[in-house]
Amino acid sequence: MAANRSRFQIPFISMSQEGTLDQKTGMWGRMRPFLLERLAPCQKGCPAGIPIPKALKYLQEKEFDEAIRCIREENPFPGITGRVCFHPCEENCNRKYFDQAVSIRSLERFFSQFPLPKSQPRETNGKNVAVIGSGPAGLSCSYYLALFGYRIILLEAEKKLGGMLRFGIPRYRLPGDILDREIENLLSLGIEPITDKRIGKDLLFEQVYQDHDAVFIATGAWNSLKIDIPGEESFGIVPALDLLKEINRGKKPILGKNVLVIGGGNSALDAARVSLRMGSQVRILYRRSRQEMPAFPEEVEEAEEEGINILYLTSPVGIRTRDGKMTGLECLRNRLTEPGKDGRAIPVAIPNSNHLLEADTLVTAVGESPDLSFLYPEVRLKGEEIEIGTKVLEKVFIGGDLLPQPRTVIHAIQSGKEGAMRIDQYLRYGKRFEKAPWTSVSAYQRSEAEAQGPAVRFEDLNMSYFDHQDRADQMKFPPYRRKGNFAEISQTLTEGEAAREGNRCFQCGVCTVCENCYIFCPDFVVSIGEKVTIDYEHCKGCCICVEECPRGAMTSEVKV
Amino acid sequence: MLHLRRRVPKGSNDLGGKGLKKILTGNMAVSYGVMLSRVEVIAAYPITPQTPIVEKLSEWIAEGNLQAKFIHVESEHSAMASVAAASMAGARTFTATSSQGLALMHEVLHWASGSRLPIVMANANRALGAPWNLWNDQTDSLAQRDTGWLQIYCETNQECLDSVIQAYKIAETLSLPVMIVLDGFFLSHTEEPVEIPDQELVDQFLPRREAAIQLDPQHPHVFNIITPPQAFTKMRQDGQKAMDMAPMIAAEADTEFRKIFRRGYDLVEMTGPENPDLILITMGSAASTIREVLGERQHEETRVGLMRIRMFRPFPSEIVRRILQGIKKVAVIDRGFAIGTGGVLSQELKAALFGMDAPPSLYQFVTGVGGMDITPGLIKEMINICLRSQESSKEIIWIGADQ
Repeated sequence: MAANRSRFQIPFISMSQEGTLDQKTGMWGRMRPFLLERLAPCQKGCPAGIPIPKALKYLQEKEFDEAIRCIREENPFPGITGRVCFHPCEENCNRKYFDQAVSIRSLERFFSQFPLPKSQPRETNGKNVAVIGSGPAGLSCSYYLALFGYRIILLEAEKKLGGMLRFGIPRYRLPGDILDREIENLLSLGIEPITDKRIGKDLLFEQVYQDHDAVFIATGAWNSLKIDIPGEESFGIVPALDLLKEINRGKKPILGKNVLVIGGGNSALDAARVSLRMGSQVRILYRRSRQEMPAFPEEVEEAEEEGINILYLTSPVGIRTRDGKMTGLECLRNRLTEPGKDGRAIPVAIPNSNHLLEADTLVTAVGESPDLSFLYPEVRLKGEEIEIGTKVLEKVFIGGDLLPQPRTVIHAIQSGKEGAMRIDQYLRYGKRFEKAPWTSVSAYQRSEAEAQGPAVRFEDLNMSYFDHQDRADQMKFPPYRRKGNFAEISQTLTEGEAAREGNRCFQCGVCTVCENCYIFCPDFVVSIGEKVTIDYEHCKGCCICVEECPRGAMTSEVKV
Repeated sequence: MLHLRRRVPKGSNDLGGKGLKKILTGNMAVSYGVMLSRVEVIAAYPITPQTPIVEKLSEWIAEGNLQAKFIHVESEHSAMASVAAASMAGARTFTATSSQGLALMHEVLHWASGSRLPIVMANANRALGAPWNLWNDQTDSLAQRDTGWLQIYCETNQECLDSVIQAYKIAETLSLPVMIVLDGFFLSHTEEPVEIPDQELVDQFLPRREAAIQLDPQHPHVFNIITPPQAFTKMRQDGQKAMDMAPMIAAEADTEFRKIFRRGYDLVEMTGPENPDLILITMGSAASTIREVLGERQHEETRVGLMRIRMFRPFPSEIVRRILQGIKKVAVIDRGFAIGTGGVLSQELKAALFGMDAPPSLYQFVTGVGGMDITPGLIKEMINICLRSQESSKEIIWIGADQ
């Protein structure tokens, strides 16, 4: 009786007698929200798949060591790419639709200052690999193979390691001490460098091939292409790469007062800017317009800042000489027609537009090709293989500019990394992959699945949670201070600038445990532990959590 | 019974207390009261003349001197809704407002009292527009007399501080919300020496809140679901019972407060000679001016007294009737006026006197609205009107207005 009465006793305030958990409200809903961490576009856009959001998360938490560790896992040379990479990460950054992209490259350079705890190589597995060429691809391949436990011999024809990094990139973009430091880091893993030995001259390729379990060739593209016009053999004509090499060796080649550079790629820009620093007046000739120029826009801007004139829609037709010395270049004007196979407009000469440009030096930068004749006379590149006649060299893997891929440092680094993984598979399991099935070496080492699927789009983010903030760019010296010297033109971000810039990262697709879903859930079904979990017995599927996730880490699906 | 010139109450310093004295505005005094009460959640929207109260509190929270959560809201409606929710979750909560802000809260005020939430709110009086007016007028709080909130009107800045602390004790005992009302500018922006009680003593007086029912995400319930008429009525009866106990609980709280802090406040405060010929009735800071006038005329033949109503809701009818027994003339000085209603305090008083044997003659003065200063001259004018007149007035007597 008493129990009966208390059951109907009216409470002090209006309140349900039973707990609401007994109502399985999860049955009402049609939608099911869930946490799905996705790839950020920066990481997806990076040829080496550097986990950028993860590194910047560490930066936001001021854990610089962890940040640099997770970058170095996928890219052993952040000090180099932090200066010279063409930063596709920034082109893909979602923040550019909000204000400006995050200065990811500047941050990578900032991180690279922090010393890395020396990575311990695994116990040597007794197998030997020879790496021919010590450019970014060869260095990267050696690094990862050494980490995997292989004994590495790194062969280099020049007196110093670095390949294109040392001889192709001007010092004002990549100072020598930075390069030395990054290479030293690498050699500390126990890699044996053999310099000043050219295959085919000082060493026989057959010998190297026989002595090693595998060979990685990344000798780059050093053969400058000819422009193929009358007078090309005259005095005063120099290929861009030869010029850069000379200057990077510390020599001072004699350049004329009036230099013309032909080409629209990065080598052309580098050669022009180097010539300017040598005290010459410089003009660049390019047969198409600026839009089609393959050089990185940043380089073009800097060159123009420095006072280099770029003559667009101009092609050379002949070199004027006097006593075997160049005196001028006869040129034609072009107009552009419909785009060709490569999507770029084709230049067509305008009849009778001949004109003369006076100059005493002509630098040609119309492209480079690989030259493998040092291996065997009838050697041939076929995709990612090397063929001699019809025979594929089984123990040989190639990388860098030998591959049909964009000739950038980061692509070369990635090809070295992929080469290391392919060689590891070949030597351990006898499997010869034509293309590495992994991008990430850390996923490969831990046998983890790699993040897949489309990257997070700007529309997937919720901008209500972000404030506009200006991008922190590296300080650059003004053009007048860049002339006449080869000092680096930009400065590393300060810690304060880097911290501010790191905070600009949206962390696309990453759950940062911001608790927004928890706060907004009207049904209290979201719980926060290390990540987000949802009580589906009571989730009505309103998906406010998906809407309010600032980072696009929540997704919903229609329930089956 | 004669204690004139008590504009500044005697501090415990004279009586051996160790409290610190500071020169504070009424607003600051309220802020100190809130801090000493260890309030846990504050939500507020700025409005003159209240703003300095919550500004100070938010500063203290930012500096870490007050361990509380400050919720930014976009309106007073949301401010009250936020503190109601936080109070439901078991927190000790506070908000402050004025005038239109209080009017905007109106709907949620019912929600707070209906949910029996011991919220404490400070209202710095300000006239309700239209027309726009920033100054003191008690109509804003008096217009909320039917929302189920207790209302306490303060006379001094010290009383503002002390009343906040007392208010939590009363609110949490009764499970009803309490509004502390202070005259805009006259108290809110005017400085007086105020004693800041010791935190230890306040803790002794006001222990942590223990909510009978509170939200718990682990054991969720539905609150304030649609309730059938019988149960609804029962809850209203419960609320009324609590309200009926309010004068007793408030008096008990005051007794305990006096023991610890050596000062206190009656629900209805009487000043002046025994068996006066006329009693002036008012609320708030005007009482202090009246005391000055009474002091000047101590030796006059006609004896005039002052009744200050401190607790307006629930209206202390019994106490008022007991005091007014045998009094011939009563003058209400109303600072709250509603078109069509007249002086709000007069209305309440008339209701309280209904059925009394030989009730006093009543004079209904309306003055001091829209920020008008109730000067000693105006008070003397009102006293003279009452003393000269033979009959009580049925109509409002306007004092001080332009003709």
